[in-house]
Amino acid sequence: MKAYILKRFLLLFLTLWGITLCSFVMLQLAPGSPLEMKIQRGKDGSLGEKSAVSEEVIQRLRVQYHLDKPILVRYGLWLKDIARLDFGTSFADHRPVISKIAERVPISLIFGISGIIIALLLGIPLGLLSGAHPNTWLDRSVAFGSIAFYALPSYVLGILLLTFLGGGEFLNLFPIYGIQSDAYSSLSLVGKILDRLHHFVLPCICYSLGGLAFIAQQQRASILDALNQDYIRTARAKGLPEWLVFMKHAFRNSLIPTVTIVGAMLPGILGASVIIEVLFSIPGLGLLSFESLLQRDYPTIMANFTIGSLLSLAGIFLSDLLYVIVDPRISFD
Amino acid sequence: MRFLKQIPKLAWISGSFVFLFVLLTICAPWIANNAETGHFFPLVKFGPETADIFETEFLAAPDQVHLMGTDYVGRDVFARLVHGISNSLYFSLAVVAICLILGTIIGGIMGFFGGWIDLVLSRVMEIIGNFPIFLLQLTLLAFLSQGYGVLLFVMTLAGWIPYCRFVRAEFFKLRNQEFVLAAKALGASRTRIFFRHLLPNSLTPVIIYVPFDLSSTIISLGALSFLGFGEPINVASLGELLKQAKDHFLDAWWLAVFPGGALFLMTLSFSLFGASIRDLLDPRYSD
Repeated sequence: MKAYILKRFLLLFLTLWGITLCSFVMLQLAPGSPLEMKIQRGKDGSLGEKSAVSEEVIQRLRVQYHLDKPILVRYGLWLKDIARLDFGTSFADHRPVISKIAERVPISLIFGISGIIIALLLGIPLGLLSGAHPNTWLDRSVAFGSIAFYALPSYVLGILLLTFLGGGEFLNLFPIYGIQSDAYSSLSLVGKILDRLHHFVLPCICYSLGGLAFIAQQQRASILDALNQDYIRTARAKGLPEWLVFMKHAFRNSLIPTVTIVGAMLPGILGASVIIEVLFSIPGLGLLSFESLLQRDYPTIMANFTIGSLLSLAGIFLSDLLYVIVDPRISFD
Repeated sequence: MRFLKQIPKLAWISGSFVFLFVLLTICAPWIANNAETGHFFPLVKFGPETADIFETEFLAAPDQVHLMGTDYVGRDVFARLVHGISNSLYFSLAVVAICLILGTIIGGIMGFFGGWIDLVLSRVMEIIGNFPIFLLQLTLLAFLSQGYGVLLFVMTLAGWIPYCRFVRAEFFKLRNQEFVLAAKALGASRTRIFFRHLLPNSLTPVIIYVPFDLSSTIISLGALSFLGFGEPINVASLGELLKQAKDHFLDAWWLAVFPGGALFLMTLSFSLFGASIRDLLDPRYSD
């Protein structure tokens, strides 16, 4: 078991290393060198006309940013900085990238994780319900609904929610941008919580819907599978009431595959967050990635790649680990 | 999805919607075009790129002239929608076709030869598969010029991986089975075993995956254009209309409802069609 975890961990770092190397080389080879981008900016980080900087200054900057060295040496230097959690300073506002990211990550994680939790809380009962009554109208509508929700892109849903519930010509029920109102600081504690929740509703619906469909489908399949096992027949034969058979024997075992796919949903958070956060103007990691792309903020883009792939690898690692922990029958020794 | 077999109606309904969308894609120039060609065709006399000079108001609500209103520069939304569906479907078909061919070839090679070739390509697959792929697509599109070539490259970059996994797994499963060993014993060449015995028998999961992949390709293409990184500027697309809807959602509901509804109907019918095909082809999903 320990050997397995260690092996997976080493492979994980190998893959992460490969990803950062690829993205580093890709960004360095992209047209418009980072130095050019930097020189063209004023002190406030705005993109201006090419400034009249002397050759000497450019040369000095070149040395300062190690641009005079070959690309692999630069990558080595970048790795050395990463080891100390130093992602450099942002080209856009000259703040350390790590602190920019640190203030954005919690927002995205709260949305992403609560989206997954809501998907679990609604998806598991729905899946159980339709699995317990296979081939009834209930089962069919759950199955149809989950295909439909799975086919509904989050941006279409988000736009429709904004159009019909966000003011305009229809209902005005929910705020349309940000995570808090302008008058947030003057509210009481209860008011603050309610205000946050109010802003939370629409983005969270967008986050959870796809996952909800996914989990409901998975749970239906696994409860049907569990109900066909021999130990269920044994439990019934020894005279257990049906609800006890269902809840204690079938349900608990059917959770195993469902729990493990949660890890697989983790990497999706970042991709979804770009779209949803741009749509609702939520200051999270997704919006930061989007802005850093528009501003060609190389250090921030690079940091986003690193964190995104780390998240994806951690998700896979977690789901493998959960698989072993939840199901004692499986071992990887 | 056992239930689908009992209502083959669903396969018919989703299949006819798929057919309708394909028909719409092919016939887009005859449906909405501003060229004066005939009395009856085109049905709507607006092209996707022409602004209505008689319309003084941009973002006009739907009426008898403009069935679905106009967009922010006064172009007919219906015309843009029809051509947008057409462009999205043509492009997504191209992406899926390339991914399918590429993935099948690479997966076949990995499964056929195994050994170090398989090991090296598996590492490559793992690196690409674990990339934050949407971010990578956005980055490449932001840094390279916006055009169909780059878009095609970006969308096929990771799209071949599922096909490759399917074919590789099937090859591994099949290559030691009796009929392959028998072919080997009879002295069949490697090429013959690859193309005549292994490949045709490993295509079922690939074919089942195509409608689902088409649906998700349409969605991710829409997502890229929604953020402004998709098709070249001014080309009509579903994502571009939804981007406009995002900028004007307070005063132009028609920009959200019609393109959003069309996109949803399209992905839904492809997914349902895919589910029906899967039930027919894959014995694991039927009783």
